[in-house]
Amino acid sequence: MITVEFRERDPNGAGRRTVATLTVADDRTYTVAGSLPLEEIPILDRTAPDGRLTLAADPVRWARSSHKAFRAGYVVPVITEDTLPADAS
Amino acid sequence: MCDSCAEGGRRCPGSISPEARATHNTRRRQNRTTRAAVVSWARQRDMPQLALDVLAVAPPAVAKRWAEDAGAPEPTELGEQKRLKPTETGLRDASWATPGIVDQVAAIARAQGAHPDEALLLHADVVHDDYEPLGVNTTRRLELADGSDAYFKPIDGIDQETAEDYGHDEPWQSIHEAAAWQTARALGPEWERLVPPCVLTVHDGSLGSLAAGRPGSVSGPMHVPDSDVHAAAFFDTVIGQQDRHGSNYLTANGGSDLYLIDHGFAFARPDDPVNLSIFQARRAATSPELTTYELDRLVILLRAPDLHGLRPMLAPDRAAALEDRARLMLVTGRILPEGHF
Repeated sequence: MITVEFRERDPNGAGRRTVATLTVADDRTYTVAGSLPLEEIPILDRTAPDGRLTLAADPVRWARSSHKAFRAGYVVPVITEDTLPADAS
Repeated sequence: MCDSCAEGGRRCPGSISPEARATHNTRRRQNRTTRAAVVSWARQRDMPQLALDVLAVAPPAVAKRWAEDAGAPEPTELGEQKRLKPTETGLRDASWATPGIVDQVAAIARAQGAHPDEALLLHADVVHDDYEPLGVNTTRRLELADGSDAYFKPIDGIDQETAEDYGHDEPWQSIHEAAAWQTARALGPEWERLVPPCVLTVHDGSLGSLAAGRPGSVSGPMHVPDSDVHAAAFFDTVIGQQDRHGSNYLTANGGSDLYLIDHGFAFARPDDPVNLSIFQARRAATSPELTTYELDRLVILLRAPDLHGLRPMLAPDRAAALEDRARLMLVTGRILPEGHF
């Protein structure tokens, strides 16, 4: 299983709050909880079909590559768990 | 000197003998002396301190190539210089530098500081570095003494694999962040309002872009007026934005205020890849005609040979692509399609 928490600065405090959580199960199905439209955010990836990696097409690779989509610092993807094999994509 | 691990680390395989080591150390001293002389020559030509410091800690070969390109005398004619002291800005390393980037840093350093928000960023008093240790982002959220925050994107933290996916073969992301803000300034207050002010500066020994934090959220409601969506589309078209996806902007004030964030992958060239440019795509499909005011801004931008100071901030082919996009928009009177660089 892979779990990625998407943490955004907390407007009411100094720390960060989790605004979305992506969970990829061992059978490669995934669930998104929270308010980020993760399925609408492709990641540019030369190795993917059409050069874009989508969550639906490859949840494992997308989860592990999510930092490539959030580069501005407002949202930080944090992989809190990854028990799938390295070549699980 | 060999830095390659494959060649045994810092020492060349042949430098084990005392004679070889002495030759090697002599060459290192000569290289450092030459680099110091190049910095001294550049200082006499009023190069900004930030760019001087990049030269001062760049590989000596880069300093020499920069000097050749800039028309400096031969190293032997530059005179003996003392070894450089620690840099004034605190920059510790510029192993990523190229002669072109030295000039781009100089151009941005010359332009920044006059705007009050730029001055605040350049003199920011950082009280906390909110680095997320479990995260994979290298962009750091800095909390400032006045209670505001800012986002620091260091050049030496760039993800090379991602950069190559976007067609970046040099560490341009931080440069482009600052250049995008300068583009917003060149276009006018309607765009300044949408783009957080950003400067190039040194934090914790690294050079990078420091962008002012803006209120709002990437996950909030979206009730932005069409005029701002259109302005965002115009801006993204001009800068050749390669990745304006649904979390690369903030909304605030109940969703009515819009702020555009992340301009590292911009100033694209023809045939560079695009991931998403949602405002541009939306306007190109629904309301592509440019307004008279937008056309006027393009005329003003193109009237200045240096594109209002933007040309020297960018790699030459990226500046030429920006100019071509602006001309095409002026000729057609329309927003360009997503991915047309």
